[in-house]
Amino acid sequence: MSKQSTHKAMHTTMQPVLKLLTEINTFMKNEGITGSITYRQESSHMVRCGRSQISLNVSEEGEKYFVEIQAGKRKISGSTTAQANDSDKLKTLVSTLNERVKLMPEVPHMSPMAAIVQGDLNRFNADGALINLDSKVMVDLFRRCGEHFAHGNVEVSGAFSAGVYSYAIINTLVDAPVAYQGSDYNVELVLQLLDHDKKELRVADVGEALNQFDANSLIKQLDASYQLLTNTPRQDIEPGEYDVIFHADAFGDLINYLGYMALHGETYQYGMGMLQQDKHQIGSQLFGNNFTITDDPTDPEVLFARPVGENGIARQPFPLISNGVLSNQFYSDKDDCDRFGIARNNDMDVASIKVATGNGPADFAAMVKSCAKPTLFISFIHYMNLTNAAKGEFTGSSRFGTFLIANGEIKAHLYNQRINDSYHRIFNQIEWLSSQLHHVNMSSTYGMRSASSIACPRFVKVNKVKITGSSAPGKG
Amino acid sequence: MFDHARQVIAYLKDQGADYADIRIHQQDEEESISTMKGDIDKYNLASKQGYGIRVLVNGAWGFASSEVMTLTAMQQAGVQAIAKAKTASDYIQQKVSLAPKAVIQDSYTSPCQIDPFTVSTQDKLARLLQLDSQLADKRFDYWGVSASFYKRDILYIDSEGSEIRRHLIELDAELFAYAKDQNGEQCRRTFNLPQDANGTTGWENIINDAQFDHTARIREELLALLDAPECEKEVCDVILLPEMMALQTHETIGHALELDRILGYELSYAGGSHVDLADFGQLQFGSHKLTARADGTVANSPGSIGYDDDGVKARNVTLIKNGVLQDAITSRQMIMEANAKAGRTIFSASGATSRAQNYSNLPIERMNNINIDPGQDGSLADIIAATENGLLMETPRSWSIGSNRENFHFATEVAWKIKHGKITHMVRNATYRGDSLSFWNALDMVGDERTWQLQPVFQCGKGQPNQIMRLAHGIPACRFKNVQVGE
Repeated sequence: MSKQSTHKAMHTTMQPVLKLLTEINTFMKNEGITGSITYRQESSHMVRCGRSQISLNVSEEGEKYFVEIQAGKRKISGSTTAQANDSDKLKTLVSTLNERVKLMPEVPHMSPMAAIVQGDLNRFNADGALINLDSKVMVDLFRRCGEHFAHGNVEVSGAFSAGVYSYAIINTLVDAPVAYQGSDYNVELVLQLLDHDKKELRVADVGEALNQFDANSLIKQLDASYQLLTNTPRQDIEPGEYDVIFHADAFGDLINYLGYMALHGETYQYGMGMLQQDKHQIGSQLFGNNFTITDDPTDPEVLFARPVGENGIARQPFPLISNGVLSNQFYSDKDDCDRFGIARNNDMDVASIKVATGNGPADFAAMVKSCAKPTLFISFIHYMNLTNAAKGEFTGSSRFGTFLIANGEIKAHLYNQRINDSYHRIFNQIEWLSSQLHHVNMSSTYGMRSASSIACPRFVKVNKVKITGSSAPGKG
Repeated sequence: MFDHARQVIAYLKDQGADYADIRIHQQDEEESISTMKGDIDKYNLASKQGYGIRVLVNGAWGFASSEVMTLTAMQQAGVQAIAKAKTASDYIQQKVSLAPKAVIQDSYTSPCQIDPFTVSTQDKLARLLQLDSQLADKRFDYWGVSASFYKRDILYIDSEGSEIRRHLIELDAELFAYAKDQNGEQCRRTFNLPQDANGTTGWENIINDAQFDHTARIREELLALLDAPECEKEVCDVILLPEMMALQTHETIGHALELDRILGYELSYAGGSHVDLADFGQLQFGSHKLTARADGTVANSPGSIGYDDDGVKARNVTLIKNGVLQDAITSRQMIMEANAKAGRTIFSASGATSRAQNYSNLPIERMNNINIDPGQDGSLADIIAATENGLLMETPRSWSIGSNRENFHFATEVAWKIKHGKITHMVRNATYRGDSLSFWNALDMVGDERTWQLQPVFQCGKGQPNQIMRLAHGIPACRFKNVQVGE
């Protein structure tokens, strides 16, 4: 997709919500209660396809209010589903929590509650076309894909999710809530080739507005991969170290884990990530100098940019890794920050992560041509997990098309390959990054909708990646 | 609320639904408490209310959920579900049909002695802080206790005439401790509260010292781990203790045998399965010592909820008998589709495993209690004594599984080296990997009832939108031959 301007209008349900938040905040002040109220809302549509037919066409509507009360060094929290006319329900929750907070032991390191940011910060970026989306648009994508590949013995799968999400925050140290409303879609389209050992292909897309969605482009991309998988022999390779070109969908997943392992300040303070406080600090050269990551809500190239976090903290351009040097870490959670005597500086949950592009190949053909020596192409990493967080070690398996490239052409497609390596090694061994930016969907469907993506180079070449097994029989 | 639900179902039939059901969460409460280093870290009360309506029109599903609890809003949600089903039916190869089931009017209540929501806040805090204090050690960076209590009152009504009410109470608790090892790298030991399969689900589990107060063991094991040598790379026998066996069973038997996954409905996200329909009744999934079940009738477990969200009564289904694959984790819809695809009756009835995390989710095949029968190879001491060169492994630290569940790579929190039938020393950072079928066929010792334990799992993810499910695994200690470790 390419980012374009979107229709911007506040969802009609938001005004009464802001009014209710202000009312409850005033109620708390009048009762002498110190606390905050956060509102979250989602309206989601999803169509799922499996075995070349629609398996699920659902909608979810959800609204939740989260209340936190702090009494000196005592704190308690609670949440409830409610509608904008349920002020009594929220007042009851506030009163219940206010009674129970007295039972909480004091936490010595707890700091006073701080005011949330105020100012002209409300943003209503929801696309009207996604708010009122007809699921026919979603169903049609899968049907068209099925028709396109009707000549082959394939099964079409995938998921198409779209919706609108909102949040608003107020606390008793201010008078006005801060609110954000956005929309997103994310889609993945998968083919399984029944006549070719059930090999799998995938394309994906993410965007903020329906006019960014292009079904033709997705099917065309899938077709190109289909031709590759059906016209090259399958091979396996021996375990060892290989130069690997990661597609953005795979590299974005590595970046997502790196966020938790190195950029999440609370993880660092707890010693649960890959950085040790005696070896790595702000200013340390962690990675190669061709590697730069930012979180910048003012960057026009990122999606879902929010000026204020769900914690009420204002967000500014925030360099994270600058030419391999650790520049900043996210501190988002008050309880954790209080434990370490650190002030919050951002909200990682709404970060707009971007990996800087380089001078590498911009498109697939150029990428293939650039590989004179044997090189693996990995399009996606399935089920990545940390085998030893302290060492930054992880494992995961390639999926949806793994290719062996040499002499500027694709020689074979491979079984899914298992990677066992470390983030320290990976991000220190980047040979080049593509000059083209690509958006990778990172929205979780756990809990309430909240769109997220990582912008990163379309391809990234990393040298000497450790491969320890494959999906070939007996090679796991 | 039953009246509202009945009216909605009748209304949806009038509006053209061939089938309709509604699940109403009248009450859905969660209380969660965690401690850290002697303080209350989090105390949270959450409540929600809502409903989900599922309809079949023209052989396709439509679903809508809402939290507005009026009859009018329910009817509107139902109409929305009908519209979605009609749209979905534009791209259907095989119409959804549902296997027959008994029409039931019944209720189910979790067995519970002490409802945790009736225990005073002070008593809860005092118990957790007591356990927290017992975990403390000067070498530790962090330690604590977490506990979550869940209470749900769910009405289910369908257009076939079933009306079921479920009062569910669940409880999840954990001990944890973290410290830096000799290299300054963080290690951890955790302990998940196991369930008594014949007991009850309630506060009584938390105050039972034998069940939950493993603080001394966790503390001692973490201290030993800090100075333990690294696990070496080799091929040896591995003995998996209950927490590790639960993960092994979960990932390479449970998920591999979900019938929707086998048919291909999870392909674009979680993946497929190495199992084909032709494998049922044929495939030597494991050694003859392996008998596995999907047993929703275990008396006490988060995987035992009386009836699934298709309104089918819980069953005990034999998945693998003496190593041979027999059955799957199934629902009304999927068995009809699988039998039709296979051209034979593989599955005779739904296994009652169609479940939704929440009112806002469509039910899909989920594990209930995926258990392994205890064997006849004695106690854990007997298994260790019979092992020449092995590793005894416990508690998952990480897991990564091939997209068809054909292979896996697991890391453990703690392991002990066994030489000549005796534990010689502890090792840290132990990992093991393998191909699923080869691994289960290398099962050569299965512990007896004394080693069998019911391990709950509260965070099983599956589906899109992603649903987190609560379930359990009843498993014995098991030994597997010639496994690659330390890589």
